[in-house]
Amino acid sequence: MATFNLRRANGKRFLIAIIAAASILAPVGAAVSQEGQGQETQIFDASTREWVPYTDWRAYEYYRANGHVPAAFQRQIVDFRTTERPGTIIIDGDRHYLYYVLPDLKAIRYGIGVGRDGFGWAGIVNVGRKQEWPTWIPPKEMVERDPEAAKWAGGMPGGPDNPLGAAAMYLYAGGKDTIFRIHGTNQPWTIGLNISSGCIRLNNEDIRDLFSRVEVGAKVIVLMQGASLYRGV
Amino acid sequence: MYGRSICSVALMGMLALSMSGCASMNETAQQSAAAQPQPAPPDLKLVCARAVAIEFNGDPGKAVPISSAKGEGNVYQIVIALDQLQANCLVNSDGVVQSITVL
Repeated sequence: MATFNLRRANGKRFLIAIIAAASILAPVGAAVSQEGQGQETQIFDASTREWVPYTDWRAYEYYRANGHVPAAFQRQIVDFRTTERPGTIIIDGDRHYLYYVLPDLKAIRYGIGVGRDGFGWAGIVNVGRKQEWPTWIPPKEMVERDPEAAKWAGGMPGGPDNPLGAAAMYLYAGGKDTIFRIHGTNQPWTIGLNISSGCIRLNNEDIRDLFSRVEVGAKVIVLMQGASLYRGV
Repeated sequence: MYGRSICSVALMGMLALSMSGCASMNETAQQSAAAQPQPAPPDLKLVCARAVAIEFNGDPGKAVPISSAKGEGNVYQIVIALDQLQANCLVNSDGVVQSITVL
């Protein structure tokens, strides 16, 4: 699947850059180039005709200008070769994709935000429970350093300002809560970034879609280049 | 009238350019998302994880890819952790495992 794209895309990149640069409609091109953790995701800026790092700021500016994340991070059905059962979740933290495995070697691919440097992880866990509009309880460290978070030390009720967004799936290993979640967000422009403390975030529409499909107990495989293996809290 | 025709052609050309730009950029967004020499695709990582588990009679549920790199041609090198063991797996882009060696 991916290798086919890789062969074609390497040769096409320059041509595509020219076409994108010729467009007078797009202030910022929608093309996204992604590399592994420790490297960077890039976006084509038609105004400067250069591939530039997809930073927090550029992600915010792109979302503000276009009202959505780049096409690569939007929900879509893709070919996906795997022997994992339908209903399994496979997270490719390097490329910022979450795959929900479908029958017949297909998957639904969602764009995600993942852990920033030092907060990425890899492992095989499962969905222990699900919750719509979950309460957010900021970690102790965050309460200590952030007065805004300290206001919610006792828990922030679910709602549009809640950082967990519209739904959360709590990841368990060996029957215990890992403290990691797959959840929505009140910052939709952060999809495609390494920004979290280890949780996997989707935009609210996508988390609702995923939430409706995933069953408690579903297997979740988290792949992330160079990240430490999850070995329990 | 002739001038108007030229304008029309130019406008249609710009429109076509804009449309082709949009279409190409959409296409690009997907293709270049996997365009760079980079970690192995997730499907290949999982092929290797399963192969290593089978090779060492381990639990496939505990075989986790921890790093990868593209090597010569269409071959990827993927390191799999399985309990206390780490193995190097070479797999090609068709998903055919070429070798497994303990690290």
